[in-house]
Amino acid sequence: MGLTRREFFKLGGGGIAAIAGAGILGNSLLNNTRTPLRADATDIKYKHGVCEICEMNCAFLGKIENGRLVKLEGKPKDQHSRGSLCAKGNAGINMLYDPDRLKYPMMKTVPDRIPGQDPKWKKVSWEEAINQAAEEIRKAIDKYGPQSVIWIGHNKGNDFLRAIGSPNNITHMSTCNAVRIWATNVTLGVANYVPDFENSKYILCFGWDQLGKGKNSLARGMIEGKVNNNAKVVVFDPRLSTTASKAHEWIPIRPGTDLAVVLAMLNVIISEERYNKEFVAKYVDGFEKLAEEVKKYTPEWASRISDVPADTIIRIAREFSSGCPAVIPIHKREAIQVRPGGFELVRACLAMMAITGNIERRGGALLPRIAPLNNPAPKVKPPEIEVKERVDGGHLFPLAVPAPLGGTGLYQSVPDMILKEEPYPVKVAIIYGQSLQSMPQTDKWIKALQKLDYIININIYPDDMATMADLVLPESVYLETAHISPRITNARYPQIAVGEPMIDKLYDTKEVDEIKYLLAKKLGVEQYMPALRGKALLNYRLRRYGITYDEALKKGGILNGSQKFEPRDLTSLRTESGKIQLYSSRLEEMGYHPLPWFDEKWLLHPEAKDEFYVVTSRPAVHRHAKTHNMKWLHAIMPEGFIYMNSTRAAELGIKDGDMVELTSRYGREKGRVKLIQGIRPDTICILHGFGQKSPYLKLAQNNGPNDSQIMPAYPKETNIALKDPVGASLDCHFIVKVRKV
Amino acid sequence: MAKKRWGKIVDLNKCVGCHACSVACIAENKVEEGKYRTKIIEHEEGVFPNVYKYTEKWSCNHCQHAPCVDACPTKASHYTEWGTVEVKPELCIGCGYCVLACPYRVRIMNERKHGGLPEKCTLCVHLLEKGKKPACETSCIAGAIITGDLNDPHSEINQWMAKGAVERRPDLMTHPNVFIIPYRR
Repeated sequence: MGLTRREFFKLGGGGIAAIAGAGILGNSLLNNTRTPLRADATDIKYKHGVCEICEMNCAFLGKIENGRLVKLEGKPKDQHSRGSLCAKGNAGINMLYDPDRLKYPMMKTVPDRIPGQDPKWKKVSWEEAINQAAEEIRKAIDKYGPQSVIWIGHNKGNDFLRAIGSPNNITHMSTCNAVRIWATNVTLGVANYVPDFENSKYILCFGWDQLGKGKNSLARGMIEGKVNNNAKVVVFDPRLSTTASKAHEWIPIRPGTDLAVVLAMLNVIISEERYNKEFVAKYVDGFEKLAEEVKKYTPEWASRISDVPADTIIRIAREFSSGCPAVIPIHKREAIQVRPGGFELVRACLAMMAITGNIERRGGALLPRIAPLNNPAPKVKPPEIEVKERVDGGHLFPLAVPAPLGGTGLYQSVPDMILKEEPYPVKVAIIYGQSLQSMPQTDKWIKALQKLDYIININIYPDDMATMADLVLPESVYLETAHISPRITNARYPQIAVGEPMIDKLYDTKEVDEIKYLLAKKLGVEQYMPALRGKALLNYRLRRYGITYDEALKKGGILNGSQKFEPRDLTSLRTESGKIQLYSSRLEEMGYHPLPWFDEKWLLHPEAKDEFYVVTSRPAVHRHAKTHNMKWLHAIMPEGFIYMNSTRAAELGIKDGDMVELTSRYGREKGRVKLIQGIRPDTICILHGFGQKSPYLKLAQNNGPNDSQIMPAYPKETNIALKDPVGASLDCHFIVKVRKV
Repeated sequence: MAKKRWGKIVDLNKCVGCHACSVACIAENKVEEGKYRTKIIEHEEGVFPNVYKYTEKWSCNHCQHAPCVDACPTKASHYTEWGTVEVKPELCIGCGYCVLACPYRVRIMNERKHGGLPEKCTLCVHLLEKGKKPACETSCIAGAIITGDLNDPHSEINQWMAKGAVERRPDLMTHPNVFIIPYRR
């Protein structure tokens, strides 16, 4: 009976008789090796969790079988997850149990910093690690001042920087959503708005593709609006994105020219008097000036620039202003964040919704209803930060940096400033949650990081950034920590999700807040940091709702506010006039254009035969550079690629799957092409987040082209010259050459 | 009460091809690494600028006349009383005939877990029986999937049927219990 099932299968050539015989023998032959198909776990528990793969923070229930987390399921009561989780959320378990995760603090023992090169890591204790980090920070502060210490990443370092007196809170927001935040802030006095797809009748998108990115609540809302509410969907996008594929109309617009089209639509709506006069009179400030400004932006003018026929522009403007509930969703990047004029595009879209009466109207754009939380204050108020100038040039963009430490600066100008030591030298960087794949003009960043004295990296994975750092501090995965998360990005009504750790920490990791506190303590400035920790902090954050953290979990982990839609008063917004602000004197005082406007000099065009416009996108199964080592996602999409029009590719002798070299003025990168018809012949689309080199990520290593490699990291002077009030990243403001290799 | 006939409909006008179903299925059914019981197939047709594309969730169709059941020499592949197709591991000899017989190519050979058994979508009958929904349906971010009892005239799935659900490849005469609402431009 030594025959195993595998060996038996190999005998397949023996014919039907042998197999039929085995069928009779089946039971006795194979029983020994068989495990039951569905082992009934003896100990099953469910726990409340909050997903941290993306900023939506979907609430979920985690199923724990015999102490092991096996399945995550969205909570129907959560307005974000609405009972479902995307592929990345489902695969969160992979991150928790990833064998490649960082498990303990480590120090680099080779002097040079090369991404992906063996740093000959030495395991150290947390005490040694914190001592070493504090010593390096202390050295830099003593010799070069506190401003020589910078924190890169996710606005998480504010309290620590304030405690040590550095203004250098560097965030990636200028490559992300800064433009949307500040343009909405000027116009509506809030940071974002909620597109009410479900009740809409007309959904107009400019590069918006949250369906293709698998964004849970947004995708469901849009589909419900289209299929259940019969909304018409129109998408302007150089590529046939997933959203465009679901639309009634896809208009392959020339990259970077969306603003011209929106201004021309404003022109049509105003000149044909199709705007909502009552709404405008009551709630809109600066309409007359806008009407005067957009006179020059005719549909024919926009057509020449955007490659969209003038009658299409006129028709869509008329459809949008027909009086039905209509909305233009805006998220981040896509058409808005990556080219000059992005700030104006967001304002123009808001203006279009405002003059058609679609702000704070069912089926239009709703103001967010975010549930506030208590934020703990430090025991002692930290002294004012003396140095006002920031390495990211934030002090030059007062609109985007209302307070010295807050706001958003120019992420892409940081490497230049470090290399030139302007306005002062930077010596120590604490890098949290940022990957090299998300740093535009990666080579320049690498040079800048190499110039520093010391890099502390707080990370989950031993990725390229970790291999460059002198000290790697392992962070706990979100499934091992507690959460209190108000719904922010798409908050239709106030709601808070509360989550508990799914399992005990697997390795010797810490949460970022604890790491900051330990560092501050070692530096003797912990009195300036919020002192509440653990459960006391969680309870404090919820105190205004008269409920403790434990009680919130018992109640199902979801705290709801009123779900009834009550329109807000649009004359008491936090804008200059209290109304919807189309004309901004504040911007005018700062030397910027007070109204949305367009400058043809903003555009760059491909000229030679092998030159292309660039757009970027992200696959639905990956979140930036964070999820590529998660096995279920890696198996679906192991490698990134470059979309190219197959007709144009044939002219260049490029076949599907060919390796090509992309060359821009800022760098070179190689990747495979995927040929499609659903993209403009003059445009390529690179999928973002790939290009990991670290050999310690066994799945993600060498996973395709890194789009940041060829992107520009313009110095702040460029943004100032482009009259950009908040500092967009201009990630796609370049032309690329494509060559088969 | 009439016998149950479990079925499923995927609305291709809603499916956004996000792979949430594939991954949720792996987690729920502990599918072997690198294999899928349900996956996403992309279709693109036309020439720029008149192009359209759509995605399709692809998994076992639970045919009422299933070539895999016909091909099975040991009757391990069988019809269940509620209309689905399943594999009895205690009868299966791992010959792989069913994998080859399936015209939809949705059966996979399990290499490790059970020593070489074919596996495929079970319609998560273990969840349906408890009044729950299959993992793919629960996880679908676009609400594109519905499962239910096709024999119950009042079930939601039968309301979806009326919206123009059709069989995949009716020419194969397999009479699936899984339907699609085809993509309309």
